[in-house]
Amino acid sequence: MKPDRRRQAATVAVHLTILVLIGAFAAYMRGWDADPVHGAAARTNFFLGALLLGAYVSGQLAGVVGLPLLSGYIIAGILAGPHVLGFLSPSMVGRLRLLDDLALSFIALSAGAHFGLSALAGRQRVIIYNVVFQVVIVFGMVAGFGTIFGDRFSFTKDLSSIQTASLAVLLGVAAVARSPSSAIAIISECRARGRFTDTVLGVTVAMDVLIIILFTLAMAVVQAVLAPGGRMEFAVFGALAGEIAVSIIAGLLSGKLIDWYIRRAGYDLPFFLLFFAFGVARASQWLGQFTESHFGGSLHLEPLIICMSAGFSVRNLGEGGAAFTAALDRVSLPVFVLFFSLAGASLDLTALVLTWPLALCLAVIRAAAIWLAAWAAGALSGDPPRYNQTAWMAYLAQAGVAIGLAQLAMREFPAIGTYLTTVVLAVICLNQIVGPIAFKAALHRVGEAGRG
Amino acid sequence: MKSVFAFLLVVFLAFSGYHFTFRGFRPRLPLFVRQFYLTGTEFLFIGLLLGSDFLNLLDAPTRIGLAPLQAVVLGWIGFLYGFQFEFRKLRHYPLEYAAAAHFQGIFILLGVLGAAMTAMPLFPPGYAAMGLTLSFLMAAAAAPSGQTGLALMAASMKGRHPRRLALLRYISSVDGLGALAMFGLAYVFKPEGSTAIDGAFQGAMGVLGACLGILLLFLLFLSRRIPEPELILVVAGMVLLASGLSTAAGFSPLLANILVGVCLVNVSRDKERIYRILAPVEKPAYLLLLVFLGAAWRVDDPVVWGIGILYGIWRGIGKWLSLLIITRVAPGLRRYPPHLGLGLLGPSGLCMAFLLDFSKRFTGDVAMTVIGAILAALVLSDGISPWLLKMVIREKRHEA
Repeated sequence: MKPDRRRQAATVAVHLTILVLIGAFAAYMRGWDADPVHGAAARTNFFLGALLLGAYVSGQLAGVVGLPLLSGYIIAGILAGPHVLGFLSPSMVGRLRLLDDLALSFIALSAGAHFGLSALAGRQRVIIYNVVFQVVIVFGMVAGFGTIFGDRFSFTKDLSSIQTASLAVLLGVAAVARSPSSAIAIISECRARGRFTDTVLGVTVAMDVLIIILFTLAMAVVQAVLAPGGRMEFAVFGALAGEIAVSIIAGLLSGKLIDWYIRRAGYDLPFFLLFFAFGVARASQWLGQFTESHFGGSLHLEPLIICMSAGFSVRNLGEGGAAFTAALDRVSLPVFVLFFSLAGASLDLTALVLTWPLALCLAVIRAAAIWLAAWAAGALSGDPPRYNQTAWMAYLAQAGVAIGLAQLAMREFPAIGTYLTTVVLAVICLNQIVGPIAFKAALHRVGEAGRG
Repeated sequence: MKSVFAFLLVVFLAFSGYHFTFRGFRPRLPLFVRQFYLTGTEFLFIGLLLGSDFLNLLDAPTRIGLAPLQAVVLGWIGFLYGFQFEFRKLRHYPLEYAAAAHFQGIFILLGVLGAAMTAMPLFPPGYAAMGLTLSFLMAAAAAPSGQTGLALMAASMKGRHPRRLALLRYISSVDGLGALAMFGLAYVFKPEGSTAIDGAFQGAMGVLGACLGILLLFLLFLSRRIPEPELILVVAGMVLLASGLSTAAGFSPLLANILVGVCLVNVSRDKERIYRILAPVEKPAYLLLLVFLGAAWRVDDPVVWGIGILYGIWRGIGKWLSLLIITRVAPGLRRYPPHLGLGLLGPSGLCMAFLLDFSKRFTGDVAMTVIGAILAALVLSDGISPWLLKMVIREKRHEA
């Protein structure tokens, strides 16, 4: 055996031993008969630590076999989660998902910081084409498939034709949603840099803003179709535009604040940024509840847009960009590991089992639509054929935004909401496993991995 | 929502307070005020202000909601504390220093333990039932001495009496060792369980096994050199895991992490890198600890102050008498002034950590009263210790 192979084998053995040890501790904790008050704290800390370490080691093992580290984190979450080994109960997953607020906002900050104006110069056209084509083609193909074939699947055969069409519209919008967090994580992991990477990031971030508008539009349409005597509420679009504008302005101002902090103090910047991200997430939520209870209308600021704008502002409009990105990089690993392992633990495998034929069809249709849209956008913009043939692989991953939207729809339209959530969860299961692997492969194929 | 708000507030207070207290802000204040300020004692009062008796932001349910954070804080502080015990470095000091430190530590531990065990039956039945456990806590919290006052004094004396200060600083850096063992006994001899030796032995073995498992896990992670971002993840993950596991085993997250820290610093080649990760969060974590301790502090109960004053006086007598004896008996220490022990009254951060840790495990009224009393004694000691220390240091005696 060559020394390199021997070293790698030893590393794998060490990692497997670590996993066994953590598993043994977790088995002990699962059987532990805790008192309800202090036991909860002990369990939270233990499983948080175990998940962090176990997912990290699984990521390393995934790296050994050529998979993205991210896939390892997700697989560790799935294994530890309620559907497989059951180390994490559904209530524990729910409690730990509070950290998602922190992680998502932090990842959004990171996404904004990756968005360099100079790097995007000259890529506007291909980004706009991609956004337009992906919205039209992906939405059109998925919604069309759902409308035409929705009643053929056992899972949805009891729905009326109007309900099937409404479900298809919402599924079409959910299919447009991307996962900026996965994109950022893979780009960081692969240290990718170049035109292809910048385009993918630009499209993913733009889609993240656009999806909120699309979803509001779809909800209004479905409301008009499903409610007896229903009609479109156009006022909602004015409010949405206002909320997005206020979120962007709040983000830009926050970016100025961060930049000021970096220039004037700069101490403990990673902690400051974690604190900022968590603060923005919770303050937005609080503001919505406060305006709802005191003024009868909710001002819903989008924490992700605020954080993205803030990151963008520090990187492009301030002087502290280098310190900012260095601080983000320093603590991004634990945030990514935690976020994706929790995402894995929350994947609803029951939903996948229930609806796998429909979910598989939708995932394939979505992938085909993305391929067509990305190829057409690239060809029209004059990108190299290698980029055009590979681009679709970068847009497959899907995560929390689509789940959030589906859950919102479930509250609004109980008649079709459960179907929607179950199918969306199942499709996300597939895309979140396949997406990161495909994106990593795409970055290697276009030769932009390792250039950052 | 209240827990989240409280979390954000206390973390903000801890980090901003750290910068005001330990970094940029250097006001010219009298020594006792500087000591009060630099030991972070004001954060106990901030915690008290936020607690149930005043602003009610950190009320009991909110503190329970923040229990995971408190356990992590204790674990982090414990791990860092353990990291200071690198045996190779401790051996650099003269033997008589070690003799003085350990004699002082053992004398106080036994003195306070004996007094507490004798006094407990005089109190209502609730105290007697927890008598042994509370006595261990009182003894453990009495032994360690604070270093901040000594460091301040060393700076203000500008090189005078270096030997005297060196001895005091050495004692204050190692007199926590016996206290740790005593504190561990409070967990092993649980009031609700058997106090028989076999029960204690089983408990100790369980704890030892868990600590060994954690240590093994840590060493496996460190078996190859990993980049800093990964090391941050491993350290944070291990502290979380060890805190959770030790609490589940009915043990102290503080002690478990100290044990792991002591072992790791003596065997790992990555100790410097790990220390660089742990150290920046040390003081904010300590201030957080003080805020939580202050929030749970009962100050409106006269019993708290009564026991506190008696405890403080007994502790002071113990410190004074122990060093009086050793400096008269040990030939190498006769050159030091007899009242040297009065310079060790400042409270140590370790005592504060003991109290918070204990309050997480033993939550009854009796335990909270005794914790409040010890806290009162330590705060009073913090107030008078600068004068006593100055008196000791200025005492004329030839040490050459």
